[in-house]
Amino acid sequence: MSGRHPYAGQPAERFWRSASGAVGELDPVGKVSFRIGAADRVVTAGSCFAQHVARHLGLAGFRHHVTEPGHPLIGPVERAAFQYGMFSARYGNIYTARQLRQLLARAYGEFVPVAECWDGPQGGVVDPFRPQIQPGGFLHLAELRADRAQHLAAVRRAVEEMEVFVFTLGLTEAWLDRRDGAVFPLAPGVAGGVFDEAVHEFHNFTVDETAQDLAAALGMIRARNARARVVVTVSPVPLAATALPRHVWVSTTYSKAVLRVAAEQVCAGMEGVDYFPSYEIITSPHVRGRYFAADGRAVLEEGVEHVMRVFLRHYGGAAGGAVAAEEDTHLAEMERIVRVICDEEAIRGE
Amino acid sequence: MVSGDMSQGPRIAVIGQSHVQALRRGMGADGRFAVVDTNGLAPAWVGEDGRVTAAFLARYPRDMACVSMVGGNFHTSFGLVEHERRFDFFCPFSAEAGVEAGREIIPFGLVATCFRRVLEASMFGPMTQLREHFTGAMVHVCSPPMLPPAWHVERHPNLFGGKLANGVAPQGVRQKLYDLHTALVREHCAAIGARFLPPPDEALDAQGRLLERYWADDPSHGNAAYGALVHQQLLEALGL
Repeated sequence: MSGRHPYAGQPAERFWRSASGAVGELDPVGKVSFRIGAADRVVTAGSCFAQHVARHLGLAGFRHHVTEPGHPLIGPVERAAFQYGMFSARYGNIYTARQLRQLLARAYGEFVPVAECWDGPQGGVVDPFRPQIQPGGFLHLAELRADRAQHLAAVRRAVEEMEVFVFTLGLTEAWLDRRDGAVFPLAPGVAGGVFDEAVHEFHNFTVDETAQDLAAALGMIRARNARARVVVTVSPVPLAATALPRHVWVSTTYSKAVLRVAAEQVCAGMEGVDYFPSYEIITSPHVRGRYFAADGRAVLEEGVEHVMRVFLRHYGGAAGGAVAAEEDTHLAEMERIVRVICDEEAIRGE
Repeated sequence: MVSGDMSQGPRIAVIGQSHVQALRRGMGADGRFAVVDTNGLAPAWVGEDGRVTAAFLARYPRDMACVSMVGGNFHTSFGLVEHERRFDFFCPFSAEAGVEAGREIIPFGLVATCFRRVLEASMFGPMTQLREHFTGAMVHVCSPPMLPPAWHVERHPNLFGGKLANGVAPQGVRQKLYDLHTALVREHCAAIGARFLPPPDEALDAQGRLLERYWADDPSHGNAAYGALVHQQLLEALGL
């Protein structure tokens, strides 16, 4: 009774035995629906794992499109400390699909949250929707408002100028404002503000909610930029903490399962939206846990490099060399002039 | 580059850069002061490691009083000439409360972090070393609030002449940069136990800017008349 069956003659990667190999060789990517050219502007957003992706995109020769790089008079180290250039705009980590959807709505004036600012833990005020971007907080509400206006303008530029959007889903657990449903990236009280049970509530997003939010967010982008193509990934980083009365690992597996399924559904239903398996590369038994640090949570650079190597292989055929970072010579030139003028002063004084 | 003969007994070492020139011109012949503009020194007073050299410090008996006029122009470097990305910022140290519409707002914390890094390397380190070397009184002279209107800078641009295509930055922005600079210097003086000497009141207008009669013929310094006022201030501060 031998004969044809559905598995006969299928490619090697479909079989566990033949798909296994050396740790660094795992490549679970199938067919991709587009390539990323050297001139294509790639916008990034997402959870903390997305920071690695954003950082490596530039190194790999992709054009990481940063619409809020910070003023070039300020040195790159200081700008990085204030989270400029970490993602395409200074939105900090975006953990949930609802957070992304609401950011876009805020950028286009479709949603104005009740929560406008929180008291900072070290004085000043912080933005409830990006509480960690500003070490020490903003001076006052006026400064926060001015910065927010610039930030949301940068988000709009990112949306309208991108060719490719790479978004990394991170969490399903979130804290909401009961008054308007605004989603905060961190629980009130963690990095500013005060937790108030009457105002704040916990929510664990479901598959349907996540898929609807993600599809709506991508739809908002497409409505303003029809050419935008999208790569969706899921962060492999486990939850740092769960708000539910159960083990953090159980909450992690729920969260990642929801995100993975939602990503699958959205990618299957939208043209030009690919799922990229960075989650699978890092967590696969094929790599035998080698990509996690000793704490079992942080992803090691070797793992990120593996992910980006695979990403480049499949999407980067046309990508060119790394784009040079913006450099500003104004301040150096002015300092040189002041020094020379000071020398002239000395000469004149003799 | 050095005026005053230490072997004849000057008791006060004045150490700084371009801002010492106004004092030097304004103080006349006062043998109690030994004035050095380190910009003219060879070898340089600061080594490649950013520290004041032992050879420089060895020139001064430790029991002299020290007047620091180190640095004092980073605000000029940062913001005298309008950048192609015109900026503004809120400054809690300034009476200039608002920001100008249409300009890019840099968060204050970021500007302050940048200033602190630059000043610590170029100014505060050497000031701290001077404080450690001299056992007598130490006074730091605040740089003058030389914040003239654009027309003065355009008339006397010096080497900024070829760099004014975008114009001169608004006085309000320059005022805030000066105020931030001054606040950080004042803070460092308190930290190292040096007396901070603010600009003399009689040299300032109602907004705290240097009166025109004290402007040098350049964008960023006081003149000899201003130096004479500072000299008088120093005599009082040092009990002379």
